Amino acid sequence: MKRSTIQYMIILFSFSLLFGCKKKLEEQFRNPEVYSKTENLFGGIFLSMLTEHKIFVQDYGEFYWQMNAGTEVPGYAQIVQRHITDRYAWFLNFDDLTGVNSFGGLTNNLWNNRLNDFYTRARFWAVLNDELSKISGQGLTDNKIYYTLATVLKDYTALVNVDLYNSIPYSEAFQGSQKVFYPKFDDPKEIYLSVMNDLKQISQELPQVYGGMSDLGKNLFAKYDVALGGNIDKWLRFINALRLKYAVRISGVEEATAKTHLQEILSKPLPLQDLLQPIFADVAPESNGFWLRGLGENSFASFIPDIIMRRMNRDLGKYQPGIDDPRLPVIAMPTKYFEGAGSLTTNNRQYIGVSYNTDAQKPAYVAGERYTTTPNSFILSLQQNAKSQYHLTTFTHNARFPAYMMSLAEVDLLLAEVALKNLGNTGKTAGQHIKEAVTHSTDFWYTRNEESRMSASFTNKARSNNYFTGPLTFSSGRFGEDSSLYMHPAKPGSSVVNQYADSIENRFNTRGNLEDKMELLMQQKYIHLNLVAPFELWTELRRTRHPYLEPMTFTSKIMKPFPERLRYPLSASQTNPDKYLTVQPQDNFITPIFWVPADKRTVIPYWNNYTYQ
Amino acid sequence: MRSLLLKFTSLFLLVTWSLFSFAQAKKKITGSVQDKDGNAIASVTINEKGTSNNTVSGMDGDFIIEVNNGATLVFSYVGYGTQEYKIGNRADLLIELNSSSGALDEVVVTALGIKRDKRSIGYATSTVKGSELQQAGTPLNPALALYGKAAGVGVNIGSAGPTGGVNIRIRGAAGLESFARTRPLFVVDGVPIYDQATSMANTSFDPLNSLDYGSGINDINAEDIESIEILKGAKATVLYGSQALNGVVLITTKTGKKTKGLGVNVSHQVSFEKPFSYIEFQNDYGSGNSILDTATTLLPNGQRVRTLRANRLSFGPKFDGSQVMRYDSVMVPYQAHPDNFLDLFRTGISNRTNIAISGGGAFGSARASYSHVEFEDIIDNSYQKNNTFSFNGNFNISPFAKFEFTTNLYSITTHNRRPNIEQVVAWGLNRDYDYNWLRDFYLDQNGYRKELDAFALPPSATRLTGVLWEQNQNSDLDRKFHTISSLRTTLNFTKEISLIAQAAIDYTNTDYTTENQIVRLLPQVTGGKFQWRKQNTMVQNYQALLNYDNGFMSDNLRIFAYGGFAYQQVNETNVFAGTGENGLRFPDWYSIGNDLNGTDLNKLRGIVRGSDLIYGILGSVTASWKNTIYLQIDGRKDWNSTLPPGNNSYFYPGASIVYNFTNDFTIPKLNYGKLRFSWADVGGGPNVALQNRYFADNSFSVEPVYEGATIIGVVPPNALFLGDIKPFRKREFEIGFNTRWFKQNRIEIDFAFYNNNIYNQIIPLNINPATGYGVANINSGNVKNWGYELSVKAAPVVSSKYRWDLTLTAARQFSKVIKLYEGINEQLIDGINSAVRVVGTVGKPHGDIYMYDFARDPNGQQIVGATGFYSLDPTKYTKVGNINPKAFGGLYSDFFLQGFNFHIGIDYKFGGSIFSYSNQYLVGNGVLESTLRFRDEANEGMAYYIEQGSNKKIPWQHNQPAPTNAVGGIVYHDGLILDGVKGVTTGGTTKYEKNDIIVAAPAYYQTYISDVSTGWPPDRMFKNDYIKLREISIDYTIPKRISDMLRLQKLSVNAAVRNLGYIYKTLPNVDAEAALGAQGFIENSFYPATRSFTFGVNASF
Repeated sequence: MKRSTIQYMIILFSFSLLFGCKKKLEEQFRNPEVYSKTENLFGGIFLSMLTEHKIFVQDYGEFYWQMNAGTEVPGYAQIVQRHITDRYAWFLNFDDLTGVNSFGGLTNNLWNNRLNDFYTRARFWAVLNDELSKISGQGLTDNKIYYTLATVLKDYTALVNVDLYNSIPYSEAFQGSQKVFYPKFDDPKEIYLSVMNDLKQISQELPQVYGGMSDLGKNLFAKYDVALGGNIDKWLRFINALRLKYAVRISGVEEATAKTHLQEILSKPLPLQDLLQPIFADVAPESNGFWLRGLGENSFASFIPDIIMRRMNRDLGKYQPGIDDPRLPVIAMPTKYFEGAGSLTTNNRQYIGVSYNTDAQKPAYVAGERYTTTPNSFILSLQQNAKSQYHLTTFTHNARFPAYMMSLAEVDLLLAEVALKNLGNTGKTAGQHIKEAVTHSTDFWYTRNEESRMSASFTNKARSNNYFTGPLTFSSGRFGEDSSLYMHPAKPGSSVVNQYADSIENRFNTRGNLEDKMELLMQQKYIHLNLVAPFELWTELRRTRHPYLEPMTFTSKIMKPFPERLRYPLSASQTNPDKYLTVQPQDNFITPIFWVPADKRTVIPYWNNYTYQ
Repeated sequence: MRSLLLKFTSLFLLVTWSLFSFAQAKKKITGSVQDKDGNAIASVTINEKGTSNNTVSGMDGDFIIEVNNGATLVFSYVGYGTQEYKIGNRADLLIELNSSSGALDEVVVTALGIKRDKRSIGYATSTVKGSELQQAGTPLNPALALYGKAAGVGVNIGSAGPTGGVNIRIRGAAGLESFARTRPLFVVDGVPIYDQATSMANTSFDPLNSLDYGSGINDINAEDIESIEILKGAKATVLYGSQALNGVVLITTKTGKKTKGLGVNVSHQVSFEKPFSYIEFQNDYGSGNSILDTATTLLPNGQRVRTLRANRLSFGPKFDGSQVMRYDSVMVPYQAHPDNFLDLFRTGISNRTNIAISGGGAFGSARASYSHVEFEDIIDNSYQKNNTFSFNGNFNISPFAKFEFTTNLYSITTHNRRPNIEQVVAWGLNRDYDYNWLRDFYLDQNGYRKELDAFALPPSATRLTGVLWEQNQNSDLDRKFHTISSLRTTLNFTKEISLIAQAAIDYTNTDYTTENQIVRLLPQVTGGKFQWRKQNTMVQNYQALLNYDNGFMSDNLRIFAYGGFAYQQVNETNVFAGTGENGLRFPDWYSIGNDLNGTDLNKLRGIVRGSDLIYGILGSVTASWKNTIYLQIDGRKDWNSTLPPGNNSYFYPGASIVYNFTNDFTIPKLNYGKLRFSWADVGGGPNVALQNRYFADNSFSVEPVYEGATIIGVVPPNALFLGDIKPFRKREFEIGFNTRWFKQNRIEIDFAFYNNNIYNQIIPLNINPATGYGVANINSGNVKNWGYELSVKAAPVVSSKYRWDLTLTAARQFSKVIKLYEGINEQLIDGINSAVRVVGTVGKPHGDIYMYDFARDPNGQQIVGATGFYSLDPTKYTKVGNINPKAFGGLYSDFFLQGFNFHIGIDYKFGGSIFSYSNQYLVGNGVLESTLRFRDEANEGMAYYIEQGSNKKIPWQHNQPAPTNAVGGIVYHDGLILDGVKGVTTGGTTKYEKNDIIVAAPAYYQTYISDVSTGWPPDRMFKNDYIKLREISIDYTIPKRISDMLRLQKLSVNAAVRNLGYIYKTLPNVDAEAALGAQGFIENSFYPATRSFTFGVNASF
């Protein structure tokens, strides 16, 4: 063999070896456990965003901490509370809005994480935008819808965060890929106006965006849109409802702009049904639900404050159809107390809320009033609870509880405010809207109660474990009766609902001035949204300064704290220090959000005592 | 690339030609040159006396020369002088050269086992001999014996004990984020082994199953180790590839070369690990919130008795020996149990037996060894059984070819490794709890877990029963089979050209089996678990080097060159199956089939696979002049699968110059002196930087949208990618000297100064979430590290009958962050929530620790709030320390006297702060002696009463009854006023006045568990300096006449104590080494320290 032949052979061999290696090298760059061929990229990302916690879906952990101590949003806004006595020493500082200790303190997730979670969860929107710029033709036409609707989700979540923090990074946010590492904090009003214009534009464009899609594209969209099933009409109505909400929100500080938007919105279609995102996990009903697990795990903190209870149950006794709120039996659990003799066929148990006059509550507690600390026994709740919890079947054990987007009753209440304040022509009086809100809300809550599978499952479990031996009222075999009586009460007939709705309308109409009417309107909002939307209620409370709250009396100390906002998460000062300095002066719990009207800023909406109407 | 390849192929051709032109001989002599320890010596000049005929020994010491009959060969080599040898009729020689300058290590093992004259090496190395590792008893984990023995090599064993991982850092290796790879590359007999950082930090909120499994290095049997060579600089990386970024620990196992004929060595060692604690407990006060906090219970007979208080805190009444009722209704005296913490542990025992057979001859040599180790840890039911087989054989089948086969088989079974017991500690160690009593109490009569709710046990006891159940009833067994094997061939084509090729494998298979007993049978079957996991790692290494070694100009100029390739494929598989959380159906049956609610039985629950590939070509040329000046130039190019295609290769050059100046100059008393300078610019990918092979893979994934949901969404990566990840670079230069002074080299001084810059470090950069991402995966700026290392060996006293040797090592290190990613000036490296931040800031040292300081007035005095306690100022972070040690090293003394060797080892570390959870919780719970202060009159407590109405604490006299307006008519004696000031606001301005607010001592101490409201107080961040008495041993070799009578070659006995205690330490109450593992700056799960007492006997036949 010639030397040159050998030389060439060696070179050839070496190169083929090298190229073989090179292929192996590139193959092994990819993680085999990650599916990286994302053909369904746009729909899949949209789906992930839609089901991401803290957009529509409640975050289980956050929900847990929101309720646990009683000193977070639902506690300050009096939406849900513990059966407080002086055992809970931390309430001594309930009115301390200085420093970092409110809302559960620095270590708590709420004001530490909310803002950051918005960015890290809504960034899918920015990713969709980036990816969209890489495609064209039918691909673009079929996928643009995801970006368009993701913009709605991003905008909505941004405003939730403005409502919590006032100025937030917005115009320069989500621009990490452009190396904007230190985004500025925007004027909150500008963010609102920008979002409202965005939504207006989207509501105009959406029909064309959808119309241009291929049949296949529409089909896929219906699959990925787990919220509204690809129904573009529902999306339009949802967007209009959001626009309505935000126009009303800024009406106290930007009346002209609000009116311009409202004029247009009121001519557009609004929701025809409650817009709710169904759940796709199947969990046992007795496992404390899914999205609301935190509620079950904090059942000791799931009592209804008087500020809500007294509006539903006028005489604080048992439920009286036509006189008391028809929603009462599905929103609240009855207590262990009967009005008159105990009965197996009639619900004559008393409904009692917790009072923020904790000193007054104490003697009864000392004398033996107790509550059950487990959410797992419906029986114990009926046996032991001296105060009414939020309903176990409707909420705690309702594995199918959907994620809330918008409801007819919320729209009704917004329209009522528009009519009341002459912000636009709704075609009805405020009183009529309020009446519709009560009716729609009653439907909403009985539907929630019905969708819970608690009854059958609980019956079986209770029977197999002999839960019903013991008190007479629960002798075995009578379970079905009791079950429907308390767990799945029959919805009152329309005449009863109507009777009550009329009484609320009348009450509203007979209220003299605007503020008194707003008080009643906001009471209805509290009853309707209750635990489903604590942030929205707190926002509306701060904006309207209604409904009036009960002072907290704790170890002789009378407190009327009114926090106006949350503090920024630590990451603001840790990883964006210079821009943070521009908002540091408002980084406290007492600076009002921009949408609080000037004349409301000094109003601290509290009753003077506990004898309010 | 193309040109390099051509060069190498040309070199290959050279070999082929040489083969064809193999010359015919007159008389051919073959042989091998080695030192007295059996190490081959390369580059020995062999000259036929009286002629110019000469040759040089090859890599493995072998040589071939053609000579005239009756010739005499002259062997010459630096440091060994010259030796003559008459050949006679022999054709095959084994020449042992004796060092001319005492017991000095002249040979350094480098890549592929190539041995080089130490005088030619241009970078810092440290050698630790196998005998030194065993000096104070053979440790379970060979790395444990490295403390302070090599300059610049920091060693730290965490809380996991000897079966857990050991943290080793060379030259203060540190990354810009917490999981940067800082460990060196471990190479066993030329085989780079699979290694990972491990720790027992609480993972998945399951501390009892947060176990530290250690890594491959744990398995190496210290008795099989011939020597450990530590290569520190970047220059060494050129040989070993990018994985050697943080240095190389080269382990060479024993061969049979030392043995003439057949030798048998038998040894046995027994060790006792005795736990002891650094906690200074108080034993005066029992459980409770205050001294008035007593609990009573009403008995059925109507009598009310005092009960033991079930409380987390130990601020309760003083011990008085009176009768109190325990939780199980038994009356016991109210007294302290001073040893209750140590009662949780036992004395660990290990027995180690080793038998080694070795033999050598002209044909080659071999050594086979078997070790059996049984180790019982200090916590119940925790043990390790270890069987090691080692074989090391080298066969000189012809002058042309030599084969070496090395295999190490490790079969290691470990049961119930130490759990993380941080919860037990954080929730108690109350002085009045008799934990021994709990040992049986937590079980019912059938051996199931007692329903303890009704007994109202204190928090620490309920947590302890969890530990007891986990250790005693549950089984976590890991069975590891590990082999490190290599096959090496040396082909001597000519006397100048040889080829070394090696195929090697490091294979580990571990089966993890969890068998959790059913907790209760009644009222319904509850608990129990079976889980099984198989973890498989395989590292395949293939390397070949073609060597060229030749002398020119009468051998004054020597050229040594090599070139070749290295190929490494890593594969990892993790397969998991188990019964999940449902529980088991039948007791004592551990199988997936026993899943209580299982419907999809016998299914695999998880599989994780991964692989990475690095290959490269490398070459090196060394030119030396008269064995005085060595100039070396190296180059290596690697291809790395963990870098994105297109960016996945990098070239690194290196160079060194060595000047053995004593060959040219004579300096009085200086026998030997060498100056060295080296430079290298190396690189690497994510797997090397972060131990995360898929870090650069920017791919979307598909995931269920929430737990349990059937719908699948697409999730973009959590990290922001700003372009493809590039290889990082580390540039280092090093300058140093080695000098040996006086007769017999009684003083040797080695010094090195190094300076390196790491560019384009691959890191996850923490960014503001408003960017849309919490981290960006990027290449970041430039971090500079520099420092110096000193090693001094001295023999102050030497005579024919005794000798005293001293060894001192010292290292000092510095760092500075020069630049981060464009537009970023601070990188969060690590932290504990928001309370502790470890950062790298541009212009400052790497690893500064920031915390909230106490609120202070303009004069720096601590401010107390309205309640009289300090608070933190959460508006700004204050620097409180740095995580990196400043200086560390060791001092070793050996005194030899007539067969005796007295050995003492001390090591030390200065600098490097540590956050102590234990000191936080132990103070907060009131169990430390220091919390006695102010608790009563005798301990400086102030007297006060609480005023009715105002609830204020008013100063009073100890010996006076309470005034009428005192709440409860009580005078308290536990008052104190904290040093500092209080704010007084008048007319909107705040002035600070001296604090006069009395607080109760227990309330003050408790602020340490209530975390001063917002974070952790900066006074729990401690400097962690120490000087430790590491080991003392006595070794005695029985006089030869006696061992001869016993027909033994050698008989020695050994007694040693390791880990005696600290001569000096700054961290109170805990072992200075009690960090959680690789992390190093957080102290939490403290186990007691252990002192090991070892007795051993060693016989050679």
